[in-house]
Amino acid sequence: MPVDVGLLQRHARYEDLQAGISEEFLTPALGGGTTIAVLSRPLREPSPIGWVICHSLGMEQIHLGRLDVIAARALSKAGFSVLRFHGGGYGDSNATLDAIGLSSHLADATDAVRLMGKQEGIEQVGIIGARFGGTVAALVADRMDLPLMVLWEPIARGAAYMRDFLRSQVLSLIVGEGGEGGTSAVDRIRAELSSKGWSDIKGFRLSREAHEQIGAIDLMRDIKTFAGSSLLIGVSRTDRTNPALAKLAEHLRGIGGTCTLDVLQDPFAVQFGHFRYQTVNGGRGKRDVQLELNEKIAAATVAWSLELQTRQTTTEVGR
Amino acid sequence: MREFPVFVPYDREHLAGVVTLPDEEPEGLVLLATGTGAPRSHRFQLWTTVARRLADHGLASVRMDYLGIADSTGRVIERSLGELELRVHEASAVARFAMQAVGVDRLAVVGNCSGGLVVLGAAAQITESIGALCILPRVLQPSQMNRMVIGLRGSKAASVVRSNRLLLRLLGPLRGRKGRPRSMVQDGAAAVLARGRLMFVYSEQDTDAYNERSRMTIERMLAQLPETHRARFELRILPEGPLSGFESIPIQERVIDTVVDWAIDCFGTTGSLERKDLQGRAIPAL
Repeated sequence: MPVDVGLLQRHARYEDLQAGISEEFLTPALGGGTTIAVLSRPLREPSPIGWVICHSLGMEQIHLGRLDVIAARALSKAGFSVLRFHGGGYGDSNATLDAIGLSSHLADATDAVRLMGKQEGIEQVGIIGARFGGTVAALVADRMDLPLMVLWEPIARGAAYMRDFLRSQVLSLIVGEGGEGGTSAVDRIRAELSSKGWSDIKGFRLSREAHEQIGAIDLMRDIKTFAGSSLLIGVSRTDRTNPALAKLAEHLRGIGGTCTLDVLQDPFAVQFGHFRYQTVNGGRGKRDVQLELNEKIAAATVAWSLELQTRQTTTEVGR
Repeated sequence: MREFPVFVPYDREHLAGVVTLPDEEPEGLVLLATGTGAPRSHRFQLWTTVARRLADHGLASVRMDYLGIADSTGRVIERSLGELELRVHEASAVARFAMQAVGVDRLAVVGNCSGGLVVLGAAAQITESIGALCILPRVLQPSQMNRMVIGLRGSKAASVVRSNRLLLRLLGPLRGRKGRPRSMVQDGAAAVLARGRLMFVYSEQDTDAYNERSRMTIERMLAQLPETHRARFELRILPEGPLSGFESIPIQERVIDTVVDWAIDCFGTTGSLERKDLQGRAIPAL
């Protein structure tokens, strides 16, 4: 029997009548390579605001991936169009892991914003991201002069993020092979990055260029002109605000934007960005301990987006 | 090579997947399934790479997201290993859809960890299946002691043990699953071997899943089968490991080569067994 291409193509999209949304797989060219993206849309008349969700770095792309999906569907249910995608070197993209770096993340996100801007009825494009995805979203929003951004627990300083990234490999060696820890072990990885040009960090090929570029990020310095509306969501076990997020919010207001800072409490907040399944019942089951937090983040993002839309509509009517 | 992302209807939900097609008419289909939590492309694009490599050898494949994972719909907060039949059902639905779309009547299945058990169950149910490859299948259930140790994971006591080499060595014999055999593995393996091939893959470091007790269980399981069926079973112990999480590039490369070589052999397709690294560069023969 021949391949039924029509059958495959017809199943690139589905409609969920109960939620009032559709989702469609796209195969766009982003950042110089082809990849797979998903466009979520409301079945009713969509809002003129469209969102692009940027995923995080390395394994965080997988650990936080379901948050991106939950938020995309919740926003679409509320009337917004949302695009999520696999950047070069991730998931179903054509590029391989060695392509990954700050430059690839920025190029992919920039093209994704352009793609969303071309969708029917879209007048404004906002950008969203969690952790390193939030960092990328902020840098793209600033460079492309976007009007809206939502950052979920963004990484404000790349140096600390990269230090923790390297330490995860050291920790893995200590647990798995009884290897040595401490700063000397991290220094050995740095030396390898320098001499070989890359290092194997728990299966992720981290290039020297990616390490240097990401390590140099400082959002307080690098976001220079963003004058739009932003929502920063921090996650915490307590109701205390992360000081770095508070400073970032202050910075965003200082350069002329409006910024809402929200802290969501959750007992598993500390695992945000990590493997989200916990073994339960003595190894007989696995529980997704981030699901409820993901739903809270999505709900807070939807509420803020709807409020923003109402404000914009009221302003337009007032004119 | 062409790829088609699809949403496969599944009751009121949709399971996301990607069907990869070779340029020529496909000689068969390979279902690629993951363990708990990983998306269809798997960690570090493992299944994406395997799918494209298989296409180079004339084989189609489908990689899938379970319900509530990645781009599939559904809300799943907890999955019990006792409910693996649910995932077997999902994997079977995706495999059947892909076989219809691709137009083939031969299926091989590949999965890791709990996904290995899922594909074993799917292969046992789908009469067109000609082989199953299970990476790190846990043939034994956790014992009382295993359950206690698992319950202590993430605790202060566990971190004290992990940071002390002597304690680690002393407690070494307590590691590894040593409970009762999983009936699902025994039944699934018997059904798969009755009509095709079965390979279990572990590494030397995977003492949790592969230890003296599990080795004996596999031997006992095979001893109950006719010789012709037994001859279709292969146990492969890889030098690189542990396989859990595929947390090093040499492990990923070894797993990709093992899966691709096995699938080519399973379908008896022609095509060179040229090895490539994760960047797609040819690796010279040893």
